[in-house]
Amino acid sequence: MSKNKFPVFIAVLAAACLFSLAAGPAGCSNLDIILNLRLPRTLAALAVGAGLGLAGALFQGVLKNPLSDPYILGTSSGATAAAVFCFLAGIERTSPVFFLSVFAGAFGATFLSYWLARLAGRLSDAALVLAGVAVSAFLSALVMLVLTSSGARSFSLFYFVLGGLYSVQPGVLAVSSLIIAAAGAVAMGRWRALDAMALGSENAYHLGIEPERERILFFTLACAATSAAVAIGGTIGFVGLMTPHIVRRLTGPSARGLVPAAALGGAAMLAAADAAGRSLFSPAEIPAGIVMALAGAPFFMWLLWKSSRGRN
Amino acid sequence: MPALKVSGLTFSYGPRPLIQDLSFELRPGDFMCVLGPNGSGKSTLLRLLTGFMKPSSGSVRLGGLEAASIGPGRLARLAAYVASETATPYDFSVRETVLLGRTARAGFWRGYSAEDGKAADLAMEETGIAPFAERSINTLSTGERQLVFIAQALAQETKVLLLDEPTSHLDLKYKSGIMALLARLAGRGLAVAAVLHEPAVARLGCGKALVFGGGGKYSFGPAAVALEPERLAAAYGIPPDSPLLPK
Amino acid sequence: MLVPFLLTAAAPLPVQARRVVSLMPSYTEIIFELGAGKDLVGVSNFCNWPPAAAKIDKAGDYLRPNIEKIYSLKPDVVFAGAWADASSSKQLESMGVKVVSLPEEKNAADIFATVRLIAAELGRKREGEKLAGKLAGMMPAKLPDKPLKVYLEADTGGWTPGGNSFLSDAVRLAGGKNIFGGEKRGYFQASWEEVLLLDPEAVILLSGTEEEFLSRPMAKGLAAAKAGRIITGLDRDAFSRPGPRLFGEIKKLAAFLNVKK
Repeated sequence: MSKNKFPVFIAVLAAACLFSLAAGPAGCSNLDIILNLRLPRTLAALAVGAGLGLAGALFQGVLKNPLSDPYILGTSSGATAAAVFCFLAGIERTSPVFFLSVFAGAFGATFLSYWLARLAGRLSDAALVLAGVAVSAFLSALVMLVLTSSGARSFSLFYFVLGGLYSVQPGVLAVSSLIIAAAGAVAMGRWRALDAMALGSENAYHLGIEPERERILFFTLACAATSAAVAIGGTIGFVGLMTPHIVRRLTGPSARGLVPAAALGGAAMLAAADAAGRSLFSPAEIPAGIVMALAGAPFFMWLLWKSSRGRN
Repeated sequence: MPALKVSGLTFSYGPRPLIQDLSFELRPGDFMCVLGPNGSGKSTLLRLLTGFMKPSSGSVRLGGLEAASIGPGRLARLAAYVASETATPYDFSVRETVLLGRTARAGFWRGYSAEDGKAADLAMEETGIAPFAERSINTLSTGERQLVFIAQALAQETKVLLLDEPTSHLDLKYKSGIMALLARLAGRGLAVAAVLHEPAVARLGCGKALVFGGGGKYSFGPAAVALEPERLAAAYGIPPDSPLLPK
Repeated sequence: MLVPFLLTAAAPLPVQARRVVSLMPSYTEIIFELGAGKDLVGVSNFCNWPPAAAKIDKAGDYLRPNIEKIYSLKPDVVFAGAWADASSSKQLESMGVKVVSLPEEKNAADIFATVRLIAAELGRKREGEKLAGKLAGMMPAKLPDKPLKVYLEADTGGWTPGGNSFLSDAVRLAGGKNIFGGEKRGYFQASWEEVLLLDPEAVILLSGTEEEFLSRPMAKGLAAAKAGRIITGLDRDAFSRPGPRLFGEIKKLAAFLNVKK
């Protein structure tokens, strides 16, 4: 059912890329600006969007929870906190230590949320969201505390925390893209396990899946994709939440179509959001993280409203 | 060789054993009901049989293999399990859901083979859900959804079928329909064990019965004997002339 | 009845503020220049100039003043920015502390006005006039007919002042023209593409390095880069505060801009 829908995704992605390449004060005639400025920035938006869309689809499947995404679970905050500490410690953004630390931050925060939610007994959607909010809030406060007391570089770090693609280092973009592509490839290879997990872990076990192992695997993949995205563009929320919901309407819920479609859809969404942010209020630019929050927060409220109605 | 052989099975959550020294066996064609008061260990037993939970001692052998020592992939090809209720927020179609029964038989990367499709279609025919193959499972009634998960279990093509309260949320028509289906499946050679909430339902085709009496006590035998009102009354702790008991 | 009368009578005339709290680094610098540094009993967390300011008690900053600390310092007057945090000012006033809210400086003339307001409050009008005159005298006498187009990046990531900021006026007084001076904003993140289009002839970086700047897409093609006018030599604190040291930095900047390349 998903195969004949892929031209739709390719078309949407192509439209978003064209918009991102064409939007800007210099118009569409300046080839230098298109190739040297907008193209790298578009590639960065595509990579970050794909990583976050992928992570969102994996979290929503493996946790059987449509409200989860790397932003809400605290994964992004964990990665951001680790990145900020690396900057302050003077660790180069392209070094393996940086990527490993950011991944460790993402994974640690995600597991903490998951563990907190499980403390309450059965894993409920609401408990997971609440645990994620608590972990995110704590990590954000920690980052703010460090930033306010660290002086000189804190202003630009503050805007890293806010999330945006103003400056993209080609080295970081290359490494992150590889990580995201690898995570996506492994996830696509295990789409069956993800579908089984979407029916609940006990059901998954009886279908022949080891739920504990798959949970760790998909957490690892989602955290790798999220941390790679954060390494490029800081904390950008709601891409991971919104994309799977939107593409699911076209591909259906099976991870076989959903996982690649969420990556493509996330890429398209962030490319469009970033292009809008840097062209609508020219000469000022609005960071992509703010554009996404403006669009995503109402979407989240709508989801909450919908899920509460579904239960009654 | 029995399809399922349980010997000396003991399990406890706390200091007091919930299941103590339980032994019984099911052969192909057996349809067994598991009865007993709430909290007497019926659902726990099913999870011990599939290896989802590990017993403190004793053994469960599925097709000659020790359940505790084989991984879920292998297990899913030996025994299928239907939970009392499976809910998901995602709109999987009926056919997709049934196809998931093929998880342990299909390779990871590739899609489903023609054989997988045939097994799923057969399971949907057998359970009578073929007409809504493309509908979302979340648009079905509870009874229809129960049939979908039975079909999913059938698509696993196992010799043993275990069901946890397959009839408890259903109206009388679905109760009798599902019991007839399970009896039919046993008739074609499956070993079927179903945890049931009401003893009366067990009369619809069960040949064997396992009745828990609480505190680890149990009785196992032909349904005609095990379902005698006196025995059930003792197990459930109600008067033998209670109208709730099957006559 | 008698006691307050006696106290009033005993107070020396004219009444001079003795205990002063300043919540802005620029006010602190002005107060020291007026020779009233010894009257300061509390300064903001950001006040690090002159070195003597570092030894004074810290009382929060202009956005989040530490009300309790300020109250405990028993100041005769608190200098706060009118634009910063009106509710804290009101709170302090309700506790009987005198708060002087000074308007935000949007150009050099506003800075002189602030100097005069503070001087008047401290009973040092004469010193105020002298300081304002001295600072005005430091400005380049004649502005060029064709000022250089200047891009001023205050924080890495494209954060730049618009026409509502005194920094834009500082650039003008140094003989330049802020490329975003036409924007009716104080401070905003400019799109890099817009910077490339406006093609500044000089770039001032208050944070970050020339190397990082030139590594941005197409930065090497800017007129400023070709002319070697990437200026990193300004004192960030001195240039970004509307205080007395700004005028020295303007002079320094004028020299940078006037170098014939």
